[in-house]
Amino acid sequence: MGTGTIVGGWEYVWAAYLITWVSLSVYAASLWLRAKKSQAALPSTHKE
Amino acid sequence: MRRLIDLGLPLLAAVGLIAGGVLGLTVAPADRDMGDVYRIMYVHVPAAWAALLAVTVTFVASLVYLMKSSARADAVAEASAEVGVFFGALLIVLGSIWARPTWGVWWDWDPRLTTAAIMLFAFAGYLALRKFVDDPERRATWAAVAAIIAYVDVPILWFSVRWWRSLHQVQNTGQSTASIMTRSLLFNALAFLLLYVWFVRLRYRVAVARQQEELAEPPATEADVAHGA
Repeated sequence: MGTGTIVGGWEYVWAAYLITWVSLSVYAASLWLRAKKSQAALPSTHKE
Repeated sequence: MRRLIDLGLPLLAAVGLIAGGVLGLTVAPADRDMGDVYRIMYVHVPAAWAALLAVTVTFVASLVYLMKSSARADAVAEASAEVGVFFGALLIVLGSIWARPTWGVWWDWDPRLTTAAIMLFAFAGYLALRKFVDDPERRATWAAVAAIIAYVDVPILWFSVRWWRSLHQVQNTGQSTASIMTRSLLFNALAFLLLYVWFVRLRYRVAVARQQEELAEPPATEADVAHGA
């Protein structure tokens, strides 16, 4: 039984998922570091 | 409580992404027309929804700022805009990867794609505007107005596939989609939503810290100390 009009294309699927996971991880790390740095730079009375 | 949320959100999101990946890549069946390539939908569509949510929050927070001059609203607007630009860029990259095997091109000036690109550049412009204005009140006001103007594109983006019917497919409904596909999509969407919330929480802290730095008095100079003595 055929799988559909478009056959294969798994390389595109894996590229998409890899880009998603890597970019989410990198952005998350960047945000976490920036948030930590910004909290450290505040006077102690202003920290959350 | 804050630590619990800060730890819980990314953990739950990671679990959701892993489970969503398994569902989307292995459990959900191939599409009738697009075969296995359609599986990109399970990351492309959640990225789109996250981007649209993010710019909508920026729009609402900007309205609140203009009505109440609330510094918190301005910080929320800034935080959500940056997260929205991130998800918007991801949306366009994933869409381009999906377009290549299905349409034969990496990009087309289709109404949906064009309005998505406009949204991305408009909110990137919002962030650039914030960088160039030093005075906090003027920055917040101008940025709020810019966000409201930029948001005009968003309903056009949403309805573009119905108004102009071109390359980009119309949204499927629950009735036209196998339930396992819908469940897989919702699982991934939930993971992206949790990530959105966590990202905005972190970015909000950066925005608030900068606001507080701007409000704080500058440190005393030697001349100040000499005059005081």
